[in-house]
Amino acid sequence: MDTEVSKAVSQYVGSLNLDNREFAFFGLDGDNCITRIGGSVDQLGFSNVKLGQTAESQLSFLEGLLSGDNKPIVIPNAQYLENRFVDLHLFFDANQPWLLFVDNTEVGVGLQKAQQVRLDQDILEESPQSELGSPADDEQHKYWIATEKLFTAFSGSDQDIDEKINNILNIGLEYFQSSCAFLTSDMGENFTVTNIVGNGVQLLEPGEVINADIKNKIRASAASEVHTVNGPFGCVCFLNENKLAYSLSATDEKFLIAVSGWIGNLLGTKEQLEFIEAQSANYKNLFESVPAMLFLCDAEGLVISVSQQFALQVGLAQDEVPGKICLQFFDSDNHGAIRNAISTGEALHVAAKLNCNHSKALEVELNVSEKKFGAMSGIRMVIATDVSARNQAYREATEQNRLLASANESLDQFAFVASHDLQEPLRKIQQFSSFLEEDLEPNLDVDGRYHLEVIVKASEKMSALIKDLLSFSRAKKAQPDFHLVDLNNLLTEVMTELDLAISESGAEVKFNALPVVQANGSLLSQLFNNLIGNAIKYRKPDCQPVINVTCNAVESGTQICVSDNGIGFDMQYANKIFEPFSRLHNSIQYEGTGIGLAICHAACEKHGWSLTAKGEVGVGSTFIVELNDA
Amino acid sequence: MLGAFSVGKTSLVSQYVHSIFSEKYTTTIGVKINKKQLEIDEQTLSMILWDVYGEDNHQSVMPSYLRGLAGYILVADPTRPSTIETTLSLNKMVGETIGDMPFVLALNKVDIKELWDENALAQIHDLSELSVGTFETSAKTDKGVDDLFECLAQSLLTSHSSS
Ligand SMILES: Nc1nc2c(ncn2[C@@H]2O[C@H](COP(=O)(O)OP(=O)(O)OP(=O)(O)O)[C@@H](O)[C@H]2O)c(=O)[nH]1
Ligand SMILES: [Mg+2]
Repeated sequence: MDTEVSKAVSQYVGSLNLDNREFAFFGLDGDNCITRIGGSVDQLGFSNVKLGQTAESQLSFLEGLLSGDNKPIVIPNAQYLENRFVDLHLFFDANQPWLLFVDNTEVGVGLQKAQQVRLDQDILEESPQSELGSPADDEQHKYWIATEKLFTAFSGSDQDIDEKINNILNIGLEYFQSSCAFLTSDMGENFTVTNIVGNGVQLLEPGEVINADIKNKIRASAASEVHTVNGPFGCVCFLNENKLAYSLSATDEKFLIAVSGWIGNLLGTKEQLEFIEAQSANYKNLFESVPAMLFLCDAEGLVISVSQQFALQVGLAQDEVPGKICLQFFDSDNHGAIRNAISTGEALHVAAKLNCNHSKALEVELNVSEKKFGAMSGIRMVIATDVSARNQAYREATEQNRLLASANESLDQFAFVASHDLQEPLRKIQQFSSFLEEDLEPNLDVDGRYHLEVIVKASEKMSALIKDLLSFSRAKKAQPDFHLVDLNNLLTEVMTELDLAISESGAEVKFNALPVVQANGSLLSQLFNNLIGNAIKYRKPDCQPVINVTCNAVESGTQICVSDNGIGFDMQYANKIFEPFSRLHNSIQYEGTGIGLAICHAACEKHGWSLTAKGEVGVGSTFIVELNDA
Repeated sequence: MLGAFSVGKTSLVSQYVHSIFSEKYTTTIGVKINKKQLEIDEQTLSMILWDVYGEDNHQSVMPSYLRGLAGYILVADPTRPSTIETTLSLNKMVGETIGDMPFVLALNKVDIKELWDENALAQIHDLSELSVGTFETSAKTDKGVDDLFECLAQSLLTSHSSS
């Protein structure tokens, strides 16, 4: 290596504060022919580069770079070799171009990791540069040799960071002709030695806290603070027991700064790698231990991180999911909703279908929330919950209901058809038995007349049954029109219809201030006709029937109650009484077919109302129509 | 190769140069330099491809990475509308730094075209007019990849022989 070359480059290197990194350089002439070569040529991939030929012809990746103006340029982290990050500097000295390649692999790899988790991109800032004057030639030479040693001593990647620090200390030891060099952590009162080399001072052991005696000696040493990117770390000291004090030239100071900068860089890298590794480990742990399908993505749905469960579900390796747009994992029908949820950053219960590799799509519900992780904000955390079982149960229930409804419908249909078709033969029986009665009348004996009477009575009863059944079916089948109906008017009409029964029984029917409702008038008069008719029918003997129709506002809406002081019923039959043909009381005492309340129930159902009954044997009954106001 | 992060710049180069595609996302730090020789009009051409790190919120592309470029490929990932905006701003940056240069436009990840945001694509219309070609590409299926690079190479050859 000739000193001329060293000088041009070392000045540039000095101004760059290149710390500990390996480098190679080329000097070029006006035609871009290589005239000078130096530095760690082999390590940086230039073993075949020859003097006297143009740079571009030998190093094709320089294509285009050297033409153009004489502006210096730095291209950080150029990767022209596999797995190596190299800072490429082009600078000019007296209009002659120089190319300087500085290895930056360690930082590049760290950056790569940092970027990959995209946690804290700002940690890797370059430390501020120091401005120092140009040193004298011989000093510069010594400085250069030492600096070069620093550069080359660490080209191997086998050593760990502590070994590298010890090597730096040794190089400094030689430079300063010290007996002992050490690094301390902490700059306060309690210096603790972390690394020490050399001899002559047996007082210090790594891990030891420095006592006052040694502190005095440190004052006389060549010492400099060491900072890492995370802040102050400690100091590096070069001690010579035979010297009272060092007097440091500008070059010495520069070297000292280089050494401390280099150590700081190593320590920073170490801290940083530990930090990043700890962070990634935390992440991984978190995601792996969560037995849920979740992922982090940006506002556009670009996946940053993913739980193992999710990756498993979509049939990819966990490290294959990041970088993908999350929509691709979901059914295209859901894309709009998911895009929306993710861009808003806040959404609950978004239904979606997750495309699975191994089975049919999984029904999930997505919950999206916005999070901040380290320096990253606006990150969406998306949790996918498997709701296929729930949905399946829901679907089954709905299907059951549908089947039930259709079974009911066909039952109603059957009742209608049956009762309708029964009417015809029954009418024949009634007709022909009356013919028989007329024809045989003169000749009938007592027995014969009785038998005929039974036939007529039974067929009359059956006719009534069929009539009721038909009107029940009609009530169930009706597609009623709704109008505004004033219940007060309606009840007045109903009472006219029931005039006979009311006057016969001496019943008192009371009502006032009933509302106007949206309803079907004819269903409604059937309803109240039956309810009031029942109340009269099931009266207590020897007691004036009193029937109250009232209206009450309750929480769920409005209730119309029809209450009486009749015979009442046992609450255990409260539901049974609405079934067609169910009769709680014997038919001799209380005639009827048992279809009235079933019709009431159907009429209420048609309005979306509910009908319930309360009763107490011997006290009375109350029928409650609950209007659904909504 | 210029574009936002994770649009598939590295994947396109790797598909074109090595016929490899990886599902795994390894973000690019700095610039990856690759070389590809191709035959166009019976001429052999060496393309030195600079696969520059993608722009994100934390870092924009440094102008020094544009030094000496003869042409460029702008890559967008239409599944993410913001990457389209990035191509527009990058193109502006190139124009301001080194002047007009031929470029082609890659709308990448066409294999998942159903996820593209059609509205966002409208924004790119003017840029597409300026380009020497616009291609829908997939680094995954190799669709349009050769065409993309060859179109740029062709236009470089043309501009080279005419100057
Ligand atoms: N489906 C699909 N995925 C792709 C395609 N191209 C790239 N990817 C995926 O997208 C992610 C990012 O790809 P890269 O090539 O690393 O993107 P980049 O633009 O180089 O990213 P930076 O270097 O960070 O700027 C990876 O997970 C790739 O597998 C494509 O054409 N189709
Ligand atoms: Mg890349």
